Amino acid sequence: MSPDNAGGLAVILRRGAGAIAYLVAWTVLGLFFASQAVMYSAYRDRPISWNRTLTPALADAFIWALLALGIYWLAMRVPAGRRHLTAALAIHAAASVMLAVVKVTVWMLLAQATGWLASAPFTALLLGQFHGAVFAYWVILGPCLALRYYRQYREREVRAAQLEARLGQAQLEVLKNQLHPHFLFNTLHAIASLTEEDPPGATRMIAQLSELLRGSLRHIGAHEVALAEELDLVRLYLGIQATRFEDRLVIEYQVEPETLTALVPSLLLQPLVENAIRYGIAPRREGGRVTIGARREEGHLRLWVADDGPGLSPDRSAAGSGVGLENTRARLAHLYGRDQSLELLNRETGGLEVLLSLPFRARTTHPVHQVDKS
Amino acid sequence: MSDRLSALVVDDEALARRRLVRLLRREPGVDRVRECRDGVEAVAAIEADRPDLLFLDVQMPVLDGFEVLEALDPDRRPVVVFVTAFDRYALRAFDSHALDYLLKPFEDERFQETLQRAREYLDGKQAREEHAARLRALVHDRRAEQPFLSRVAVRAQGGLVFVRVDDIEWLEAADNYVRLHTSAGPYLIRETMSRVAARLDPGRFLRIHRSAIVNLNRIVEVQPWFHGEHVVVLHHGQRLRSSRTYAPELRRILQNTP
Repeated sequence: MSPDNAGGLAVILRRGAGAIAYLVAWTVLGLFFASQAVMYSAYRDRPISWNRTLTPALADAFIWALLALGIYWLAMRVPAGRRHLTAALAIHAAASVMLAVVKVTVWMLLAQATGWLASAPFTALLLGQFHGAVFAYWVILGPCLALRYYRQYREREVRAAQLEARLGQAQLEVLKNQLHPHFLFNTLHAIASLTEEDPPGATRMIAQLSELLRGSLRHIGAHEVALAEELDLVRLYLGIQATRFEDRLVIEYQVEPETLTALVPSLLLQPLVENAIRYGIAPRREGGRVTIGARREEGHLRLWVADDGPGLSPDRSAAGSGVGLENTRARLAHLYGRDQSLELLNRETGGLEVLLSLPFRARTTHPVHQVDKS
Repeated sequence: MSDRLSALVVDDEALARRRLVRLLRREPGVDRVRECRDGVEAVAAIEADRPDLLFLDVQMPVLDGFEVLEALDPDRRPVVVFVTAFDRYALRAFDSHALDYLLKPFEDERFQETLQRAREYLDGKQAREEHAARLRALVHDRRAEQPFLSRVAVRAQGGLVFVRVDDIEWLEAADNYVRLHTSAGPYLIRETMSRVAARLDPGRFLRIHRSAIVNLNRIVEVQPWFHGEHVVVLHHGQRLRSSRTYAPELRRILQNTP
């Protein structure tokens, strides 16, 4: 047997076991109610008739076993939450009345078919069982809703944990790249050289490097920051790189001022800019240009990081869409669901462009300003 | 101690380059210091100027430090000091061959020690030969790890050109030379066909004839010919005849392509 078939069989067996357990539970419940009739008959010294005790109680139980599936189905679909409370109550009220009538009808048909009840006028049965059936509906609904909320809670927990993990990974990537020998030690070496030929330049570069590391550490734990803050970090990073590469690196910002307050995932641009330099600028003798842009468009924030290098090659797509980009995609999906996109394009003029789109949400009040006001 | 020492500094970062140049100019006996910003410039400068001493950055665009070494005539390599910003792989390679390197950032004293050792290599004939042997061993190791060429050094118009193997459409044997056909025109290298064939990635290049190797990416059509021979048509319409000897390989490749 192939592993696939074995897996399929395991699922069927597990489902079969579940179904049997479900029926056993309802049977036990049926027997429990049957025992009431048995004890009542014994107390009254009446002969115990199985037809009048066990059969109706089990019929009740199995009918409810089936109807409970419908209640469960409905419980999972009726809108939940405080805003929908009235609608949910109305739907369940209507459903409970309908299901009670269905239950009594089925019960009657079953009684007549098996002959434990000679003649059962529907109206009499309905009057005798309706209230109990409506009540049973709400009793069954309780555990169904509990299950639903528990599942939602678990899902939220898992999502939050995943988001947290993705953020951690992004921070780790950024810090790792800043502590990467090519960046850190070359930067320190450039500073060593500047101390001789341009001491103020050396001081400036040390300050930039410190600010960059401080900034990356400060963002730890923050899922979203204002674009302005993210750009501050990118500017520091690019400032250092521009000193290292001298005339080989040209940086262009095309950022619309109104986007500066927009919230973006923290450390979103940093890895994209690093990639642009690593693959688009560093491998070329003549260097090149990195463009960073932000624009508001139809309720969305569009961001782009472009270089004028060799564009997407098999080499780069393997490296570029590695851990870094895959993680960025996952973070965007966790934060914004389907309302986001990340695309890699080879530009017509040459080079690679990474295009991002996410919902435009402005940070209305800056935490620092709030402190000022108080 | 050798006076009249000429040195070449190769680094793609200007600040790093200038630091070494300054340090070298301060040293007595170093009378000529040149600098290059990448490996291609470096190979040309070394061939033209024959410096005694080379400070070679390992990570550079186009040609890295190892590729520079590989492009040089093994018997005419200068004494080399590698300069690197801690590349674990590179350090292991240097250590295992007892080659000198400077780790960025380095102190002036560390530079002077390294220069002192380099002078010793230059002074003693035996020490110099030992150093050359270590460089050969390093290049040999690199070849074992990366057996396939990514670029071919070609002497053209008095200078050195590096042709990316991806840009080669096909290679043609011409006596003791091999002609590389590229979209930019043909280049002639002094090599035998079988030695070039051994250093080309068989996943990208296919020998179809005693005197022809084609870039698989440039093939647009293969037509059956007579006696198990084929005609291979390339991008620019070039038609090449394959011989029966190489037909099984060609058929195997054809079957794998969807």
